[in-house]
Amino acid sequence: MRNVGALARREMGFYFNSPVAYITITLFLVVCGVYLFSMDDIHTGRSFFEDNEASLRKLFDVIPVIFILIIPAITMRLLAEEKRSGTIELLFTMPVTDTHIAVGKFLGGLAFLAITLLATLPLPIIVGGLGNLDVGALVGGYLGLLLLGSAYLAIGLMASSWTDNQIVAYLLAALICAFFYAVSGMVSVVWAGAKDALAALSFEGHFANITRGVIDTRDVLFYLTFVVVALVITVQSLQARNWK
Amino acid sequence: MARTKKLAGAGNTALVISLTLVVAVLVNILGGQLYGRVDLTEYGTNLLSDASKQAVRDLDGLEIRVYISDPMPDEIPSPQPGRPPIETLGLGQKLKDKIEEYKAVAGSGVTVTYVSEHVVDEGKKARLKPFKGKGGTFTEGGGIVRDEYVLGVTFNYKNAMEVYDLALFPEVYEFEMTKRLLRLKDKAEHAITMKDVLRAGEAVNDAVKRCVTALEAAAPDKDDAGGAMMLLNPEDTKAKVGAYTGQKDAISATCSAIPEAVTAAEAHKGKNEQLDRVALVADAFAKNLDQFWEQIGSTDANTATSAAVNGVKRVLAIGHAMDGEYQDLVDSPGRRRIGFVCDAQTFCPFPDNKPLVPKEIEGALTQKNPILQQMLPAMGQMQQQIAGLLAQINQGLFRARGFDIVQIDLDDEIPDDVQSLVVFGPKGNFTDYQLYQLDQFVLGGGSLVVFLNPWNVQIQGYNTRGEPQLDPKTWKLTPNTSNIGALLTTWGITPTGALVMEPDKHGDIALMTYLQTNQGYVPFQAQQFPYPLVPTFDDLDREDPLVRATSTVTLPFTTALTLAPKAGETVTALVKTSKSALTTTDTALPLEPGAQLVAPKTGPAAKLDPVAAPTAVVAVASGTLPSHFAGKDAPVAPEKKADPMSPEPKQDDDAVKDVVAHPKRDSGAGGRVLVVGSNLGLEPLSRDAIFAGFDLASISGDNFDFIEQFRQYQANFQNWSNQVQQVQHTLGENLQFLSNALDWSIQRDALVELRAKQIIARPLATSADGDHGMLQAAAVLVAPLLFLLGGLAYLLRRRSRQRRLTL
Repeated sequence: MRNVGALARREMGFYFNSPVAYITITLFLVVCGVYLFSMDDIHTGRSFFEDNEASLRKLFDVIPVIFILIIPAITMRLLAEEKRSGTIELLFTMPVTDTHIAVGKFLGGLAFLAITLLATLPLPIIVGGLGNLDVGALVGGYLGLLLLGSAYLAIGLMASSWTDNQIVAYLLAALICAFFYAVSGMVSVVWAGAKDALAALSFEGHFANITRGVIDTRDVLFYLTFVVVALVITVQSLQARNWK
Repeated sequence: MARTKKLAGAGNTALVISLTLVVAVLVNILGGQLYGRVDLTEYGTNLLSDASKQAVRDLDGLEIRVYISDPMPDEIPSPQPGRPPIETLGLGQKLKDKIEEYKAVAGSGVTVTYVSEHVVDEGKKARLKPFKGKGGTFTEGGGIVRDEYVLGVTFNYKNAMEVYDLALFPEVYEFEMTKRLLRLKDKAEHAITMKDVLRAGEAVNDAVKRCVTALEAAAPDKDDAGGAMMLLNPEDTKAKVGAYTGQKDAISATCSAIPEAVTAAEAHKGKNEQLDRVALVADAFAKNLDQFWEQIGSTDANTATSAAVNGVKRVLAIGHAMDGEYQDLVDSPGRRRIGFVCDAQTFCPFPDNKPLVPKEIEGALTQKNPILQQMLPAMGQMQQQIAGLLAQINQGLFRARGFDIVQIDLDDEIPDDVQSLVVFGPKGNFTDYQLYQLDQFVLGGGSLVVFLNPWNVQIQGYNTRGEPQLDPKTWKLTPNTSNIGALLTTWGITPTGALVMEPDKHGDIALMTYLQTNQGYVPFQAQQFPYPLVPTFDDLDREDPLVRATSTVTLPFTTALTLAPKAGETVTALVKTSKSALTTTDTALPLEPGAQLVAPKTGPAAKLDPVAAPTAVVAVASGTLPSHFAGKDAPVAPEKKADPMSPEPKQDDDAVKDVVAHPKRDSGAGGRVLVVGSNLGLEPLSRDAIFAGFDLASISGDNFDFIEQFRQYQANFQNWSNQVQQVQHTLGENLQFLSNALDWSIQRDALVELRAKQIIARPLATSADGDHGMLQAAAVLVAPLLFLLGGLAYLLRRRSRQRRLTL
């Protein structure tokens, strides 16, 4: 466990000891702020003030899409860069298992994600000052984002373990995340029998439930098992060096 | 060796990944069966409310049958025209989840059955309406039969049933299901007391149904759809006539039970309106059947053929109409009715189909006065239009929303199943006896909802020449003189009569622009103008479910209310004006848009009074309410007047005697009164209002005076239409409030709570546009900039520390 913590801290240090993290998070905050207050809602076609509702629903609609672009950027270097530079061999010589490496790097990314989400707190504070914000739905929304982001992170880490090229890792991760997010929209083009299965795999469906303020064990379990499966595949990918 | 190692490694990896996937899927399947949910929202929006839990617990032995077509189409056309199609993905699961929630609350008291085979057919049998998707199958004739689906639930409890079909909107599942559970409980309880009535209805329905089945079975070609084609084929028609005459004795024997059943049902006449209707339809069916036999046995071949082709269709159509009537009877126990008071020139959404001029004398009148040849049909058309509009309002605004409304004449006895009375926009005075009826109804535990109509606002009114009055100087503001205020004052709510204006927050008025042509003014298009006399209120009592879910209420031409609760009662302001509201009783107030708040260049300005503090425009009184007639003698019920328009006198003379037989109450608890300062823009429309002053005697002569009178009727109708159209856009915004008021009035507070739960309005605090800009800047720039600066400060500090360590 100590090894996992050390690895997670190492990753955190990498993010926050360079300006990259601050610039990325700042850009993310600007995009969120502009979308929430200055742009029209894609559903209602009205701006935040025209909607006249103290709600962050609009923000929770857009962040999952922004995450598809940002999280693969966070995860692309986690293993791919170590492979390209050869530092992964150094890591393998240390007294840590492949599982430690995968979980440590995942937790490092998760901490970055949590800090990114925390940085958006001024937005609910401002909206809460303007009207009676439903705190329960807000907590649900943030929990949903954390779970969804975890699944994206696990996918990103998995993609990063498959290649030593960061660009390839980024594109693979973004594509897989986009697929799982939008899979419910593809049901009309697939065989009717697979419809329910695809709908059950949809990140969007499970996320929508949580952002309504309902914590359903089925949704939480879905994200947790998804993360576990992706981490197992990552570990297997790392172990492949032994038989390649 | 290396190859073997590689294969073993790959196999091992594949095995681990496969096992993990299988375990993940199994865990999720198991988790799908054993799950829990926590609702974090403020009002528990997503999980069952206490009212719903209680509703299902109250029905021990409830059986729920769930009908979900599988597979479902991806999307289906919306039942509401003009709306986007409805995506059905996950709807079945959401319906199941909601049902399981009810089951989890009730435990073993509820049985849930998921119908899995022949779902559509079974659903249809259970009275679920199917819906159609995009797909379908080609028929032999080249047509397409669209696939049908069902999604719904039936609730069965002690021989009573409620159906929830077209369950396409998950956000209202709880509301719709709990509504049905509450009705089911009432229905089951009252069905016991109405056992005889229901049995009599069942006997009539069974007799008619058996007869219909026998008649349909006798048809030689049951798929025949074209009567006209049959007429062209003499052989077929002859066969058809023969088929019916040949089986006449057998069919007559089957149908012989009808008269007996009808007689038995008629023994209960007056006890239940629905049973009376069932008996009436059965009687009509029997008479048409007799006529059919008479015609089909005729020696005239044409008569017999016509009976075999068209006569039978008429008989069967009446027979099938029985289904709806009988279902109405079955649904009637425990029904909570809302009575619309149709006195004192109120808005009364019931068409009056009696002709102004009886058909029998129309001919004689037009012979005497030829000018009537054009006017009477025009008046008939106008009457039809009025009846059509009222029927539309009745259906669209009330019945389609699940409200069972009934017309009430306060000179008659108020039926027992009426739980609330609605007085919508009275313009005239009630008689003492009518006020007494309202008073005693409330003191007896009933609810009274009053929508006031303090002012008649005539803008762009039409004159008798059919010309719109476009000069604002001709626009009129006149007070209405209803005496309902005196009754309401007794309960602590006094309408001040002052018109309320909100200078800062108001809706629009839609005024027509006209094109001037050779034929006069032609309406071009309606244009909306901001109008302070259509004030918008956002100071709502957020604790009260009646308005909790409502963001704002816009009340056209509303009056202010003063509240002075009496001992033992509670009076609450539900909606209040802002601090900057103005009131006026000045009839010289200019009515053109934008003119009310501007001092005129010439002449005195209208008198406007600022409110001292936010003032009530909607209020509710409850608790122990005093009687308006306390210490006075009860007014005497009026003698029944013969209706000059009606050829037959009304038959319920006993009703008046019954009314006076009720003991007078001087106070009472349990009743409640809701007063709204505006009529929501629903101006009274009735035959009597439009044809005010009409008298058969005035058209009996051979003079031409009636022309002017006729033009006045036309102007009245146009002016009504104008008044409604000018503010009808506000009605849409107020529909939720109206629905809440009606549900509240029939003591369905649980439904008001649930409706409030569906949409919780969380309006932003009023702020200036400049504040919006500042907030945007803070959110978009300041917060991110602070984060960036904080990050850079951390990096600089770290770097300088590293530099110190290096040194």
